[in-house]
Amino acid sequence: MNLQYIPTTCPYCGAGCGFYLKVKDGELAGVAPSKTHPVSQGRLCVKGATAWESVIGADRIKEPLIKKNGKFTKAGWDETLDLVAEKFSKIKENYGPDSLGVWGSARCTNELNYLAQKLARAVFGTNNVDHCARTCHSPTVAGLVRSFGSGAMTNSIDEVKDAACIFAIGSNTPEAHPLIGWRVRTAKDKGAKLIVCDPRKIDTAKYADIHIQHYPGTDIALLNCLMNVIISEGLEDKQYIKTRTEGFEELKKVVAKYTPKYTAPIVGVDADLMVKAARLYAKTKPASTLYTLGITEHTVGTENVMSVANLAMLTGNVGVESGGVNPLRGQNNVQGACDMAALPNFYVGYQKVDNPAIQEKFEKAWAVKLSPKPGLTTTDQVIQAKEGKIKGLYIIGEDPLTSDPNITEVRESLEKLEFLVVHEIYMSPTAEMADVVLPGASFAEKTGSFTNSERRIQLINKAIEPIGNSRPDWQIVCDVATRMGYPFKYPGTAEVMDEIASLAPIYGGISHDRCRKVGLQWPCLDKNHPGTKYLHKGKFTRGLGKFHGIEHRPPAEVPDDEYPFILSTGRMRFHYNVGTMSRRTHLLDREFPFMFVEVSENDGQKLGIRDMDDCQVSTRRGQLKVKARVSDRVKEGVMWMPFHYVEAPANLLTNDAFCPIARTGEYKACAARLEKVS
Amino acid sequence: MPVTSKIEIKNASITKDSLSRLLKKICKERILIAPVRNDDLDDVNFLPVTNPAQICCDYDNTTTSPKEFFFPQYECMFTFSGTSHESIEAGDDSEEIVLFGLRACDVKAIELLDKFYERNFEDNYYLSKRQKSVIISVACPDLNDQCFCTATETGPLLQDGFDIQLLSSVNAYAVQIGSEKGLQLFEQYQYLFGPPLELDINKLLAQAKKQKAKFNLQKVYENLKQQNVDEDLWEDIGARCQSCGLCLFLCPTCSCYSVKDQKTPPGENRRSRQWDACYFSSITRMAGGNNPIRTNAEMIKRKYQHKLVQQIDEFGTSGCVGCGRCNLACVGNVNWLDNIIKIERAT
Amino acid sequence: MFNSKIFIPRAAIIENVQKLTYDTKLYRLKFKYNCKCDRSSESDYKPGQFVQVSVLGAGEAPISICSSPAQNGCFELCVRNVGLVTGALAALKKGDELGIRGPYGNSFPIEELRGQNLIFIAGGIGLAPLRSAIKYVIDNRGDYGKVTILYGARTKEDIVFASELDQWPRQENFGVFTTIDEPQDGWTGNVGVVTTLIDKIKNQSKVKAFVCGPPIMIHFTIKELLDAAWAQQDIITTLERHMKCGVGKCGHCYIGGKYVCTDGPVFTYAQINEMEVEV
Repeated sequence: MNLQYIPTTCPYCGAGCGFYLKVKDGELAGVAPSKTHPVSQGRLCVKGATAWESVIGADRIKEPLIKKNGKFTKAGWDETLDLVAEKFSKIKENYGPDSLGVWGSARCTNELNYLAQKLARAVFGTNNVDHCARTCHSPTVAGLVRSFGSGAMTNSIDEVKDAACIFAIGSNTPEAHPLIGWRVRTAKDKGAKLIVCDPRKIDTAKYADIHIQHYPGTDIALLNCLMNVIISEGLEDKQYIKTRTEGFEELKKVVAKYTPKYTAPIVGVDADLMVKAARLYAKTKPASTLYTLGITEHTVGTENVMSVANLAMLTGNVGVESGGVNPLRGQNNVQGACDMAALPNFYVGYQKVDNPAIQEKFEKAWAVKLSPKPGLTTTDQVIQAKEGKIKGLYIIGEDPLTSDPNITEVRESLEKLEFLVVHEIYMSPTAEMADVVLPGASFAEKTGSFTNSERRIQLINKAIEPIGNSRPDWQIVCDVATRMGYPFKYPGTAEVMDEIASLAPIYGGISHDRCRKVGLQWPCLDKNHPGTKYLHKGKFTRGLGKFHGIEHRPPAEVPDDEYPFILSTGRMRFHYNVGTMSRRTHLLDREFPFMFVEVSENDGQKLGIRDMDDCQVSTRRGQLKVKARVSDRVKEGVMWMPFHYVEAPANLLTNDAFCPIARTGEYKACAARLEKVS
Repeated sequence: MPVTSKIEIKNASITKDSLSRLLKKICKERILIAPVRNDDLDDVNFLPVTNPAQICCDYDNTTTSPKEFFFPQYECMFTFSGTSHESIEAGDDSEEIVLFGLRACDVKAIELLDKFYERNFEDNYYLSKRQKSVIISVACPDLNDQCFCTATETGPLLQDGFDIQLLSSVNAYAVQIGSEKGLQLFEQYQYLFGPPLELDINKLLAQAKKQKAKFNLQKVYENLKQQNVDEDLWEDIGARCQSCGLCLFLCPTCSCYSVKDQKTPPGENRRSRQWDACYFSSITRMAGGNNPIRTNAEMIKRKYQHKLVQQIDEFGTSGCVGCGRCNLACVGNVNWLDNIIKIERAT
Repeated sequence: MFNSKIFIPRAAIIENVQKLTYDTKLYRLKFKYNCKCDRSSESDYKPGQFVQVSVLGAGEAPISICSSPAQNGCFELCVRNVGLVTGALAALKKGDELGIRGPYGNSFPIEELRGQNLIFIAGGIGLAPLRSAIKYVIDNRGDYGKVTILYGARTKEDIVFASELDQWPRQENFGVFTTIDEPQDGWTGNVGVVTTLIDKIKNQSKVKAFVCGPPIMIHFTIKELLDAAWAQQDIITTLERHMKCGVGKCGHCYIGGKYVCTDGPVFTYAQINEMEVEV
């Protein structure tokens, strides 16, 4: 018997739990929790507890695939990589570097993302590099940089349990981030006050002191109203505002209009409840604000984020232990992919590409001429592909044909490409469209690091050999670069991290060896720096925290006679994003095997729809036949769907209207219709 | 064939040095499984060791339970090709193993599982592994703040049900041999053992029993059996439970499993079983959607009833052995021990 | 027992498939051959027992045996296509192979009731397990008294074993009453749920009543029987549960201190009450 416990980091959400993969005779055979891990502390959610099964589906892509005459044929690595290098080189030569784009991945390691953006910048010669944070937390980076100077979770996960007040808005914490949900539960059990603002009656709403069930897409109005009450009752932290912030007068002017009476009909919430919430929040400190995609996935996503930041600064809750503004990152390494600059406007560690001094630093380090022009986001790469300006894409570990809004449009764009390379562990609708599919090794088959939501860099360790002929993704990127004439030579991922540390000051003290036990939280400036538990202590990254006066704007699409419902989408506990891994996990898929739409009891009654009836949900972009789940979880006039089902993708319905600043789609609110199917 | 047969307890002793020699010998001849501390994270778990130096001696109990050596989290039941059942044979990956360092609670848990897998129909996947195993358990020095074997009468040292039990003394261990299998191992290495210590084991047992039990099991049993527990308790636990299954995966006596036909990446077809948990609603939901367990509260109550009433009725011992592993595994802060105490105090 | 190793299904051939309704088929099965390790007889089962049917690649599902043990060499299963395994079964045809484990579970106390009258009340496909007992009674007609069968289906298209329901009344002292939930064109029989037929047995409250069907049907039928003075121990039903093993190990069917697969699936209403199971 050969049983091993290999410590690693969970590949699902951004909480970044630690666990052991059980390896028996060379095969994955289970998961064991770790009592000593700082995030999970002996606990796991159901996805973590079953994560071993997610990557051993029989349909793993085992060989490189080249599409010939519309059909994939298995190919050797050399042949495939030669083809990839040749095609990308030719496109670069024919149409220029900016006709190419690279998509890094929030699912992959820091090392992969660093190499992917280096491939784009140093080899392709373009800043057209981005990743799936564009569909989730890009507004966080854009918004918090504007407000605080740094776009990350300000405090640590374990601090949440010691907060006196938790203000959770647009975050289904126990389902989307169960181990942070645990801290919310613990805080509440210890006597903290809990205010939940969410269009659905989620689990935390059931035990909250106050649940504000506002309409999707009315967060700014709600937040402005809370600030209106706080200011009009003199509950703001005047000293903090004076010494630590700027722009208060502008804010005050804008929120003056948002009296509870004025706001109530916009948000669909009783005026008194908002007054009660504002008082409770302002008087209970420290208050920790938690938010996720309910805030960011709107056309006003970035402004939503800045409004959240306004409220926290108004009450002096930023830069204090167990307080802060805490965007809970949705994917295992979305923080890291941003840090590694799989972003069109930054070099690694948020160093701007249009800053000549920074450009020079990277030109010297990489010994190559670099483009000073910020690149295109994934959103704009898709749009420009349709216009014929983007000719070749290298997509790593992403499935925009399931995850992007209005996927019918995305398909039309990708069809226009001259050359599409997709790098995946399982076939996906996007991979099906590719000219070349490169089989990557999963988290269990390689080494590297993930950075969790609280900026903690943690290692993954190789537990089993790569499945079939798949290879660790970072090695594949190295081979493509090398074949294109720029050798990427790294003995292992530890050396890639050493290069990252040498170039990104916030990662200055990071090395695999130092991260081996419990990780390190950036900023970690040098080899002796202990890492940083919470940000903005004493001083904001940008100096003074900045208030922004922001007016409410409704979603791009609002209900009308033809489409009378607001449709929102989201994640549930038993599944993860496009379902690639969770749908292949027996115990997870068994629990929720089919797509559904949540609808309120009153609406169900009006339409003659009972629980588990077949029904059709339509928007201007498409329709889906799904089961109805009739309950009191959503309010009248609102519907909600998960987005995990590739056979019934919610994003056939969602609106491809984008936040003008962060270019994130409005997944959380569009107009829809519901009909019974007999 | 029963997995173990009891004998009249025989006493001996072994010095700490001789114990190291014994373990070294066992390593060479069989598979030795013992507590090992992970290099990166600090958890201690039972793992195969090739050198006794790897064994961790400073531990309360392991993070996971040793049940996985007999009832693994994932196990191939048989392989097949095509659609014919004709040539299918049951897999058997049992090997000669010695488990060292188990605590009394885990030994009692395995004893309960033995009865469970032997009764009615014999589960050979479990039993063949058990038959080839010998357990050397080490009595606990003390209870920690989460475990409670004195209340469930499953420790910290055992009166019976062990193969070999060690009790720590100054420079040596008192050794008790309690089964045929234990005796065989003892006889094979008899030259390493010494005469019984002048240690009054009955006195130790009496002392152990005196350690304050954290609850009265009989009272808990009665309150559950007589439905004296307020439904609010089940409602509260049900609302807290996030259906992760972890407490049940960690439990040394939980034995639910699911079965699935699947293909491995290299293309082998398998029917396999894996740990399941009664805290998933889909464990009872039937094809067609009907679920006889209607609410989380019912689901939770079923588990408490199973461990603390029905298993006592069926096997004569508590289905909870007091190891405390599940207490700190819950993202909803459900603490099994606290809840048992609430049940005890229901009347 | 059909199998010497409890988790290894034994190969059986589908001798015949008969479509009973739009979603339900009747399979007649015969073991591929009597291997020496399996000395048991094919007829070694009792009415009320079930088998685990295995389709490789899809998995296993518990299915009641619906034939009479006296039917030598073969046994029959009635399967409605509702899930993964039953869906895979639906695709099989005559001559195809599947796997069988079992028979498992206890059985209807039919032996003990020799000389007595019997009542069978079935809803939908719930007639399948009762058919095993009914056919057993027919095979041993002289041993039993008056038999009354009440059968309800949702629509006339949902009626299983329609021809047998027509033939059984020809047996001596056999009463068969069939009903459908709502009026339908071309249906001249009783209309209403099966409980509306309980009038037909009103004065027989000392006769054991066997009740099988969907949960809601069982719930209301038992309620009506109790109202009509049946004693709890005279109402016999089966519990349907999700099962993986059939042998009391996997834990899926565990309820009220019992494993439905080994302690059941046949229980009296008195036992069910004691288990605190709601039906």
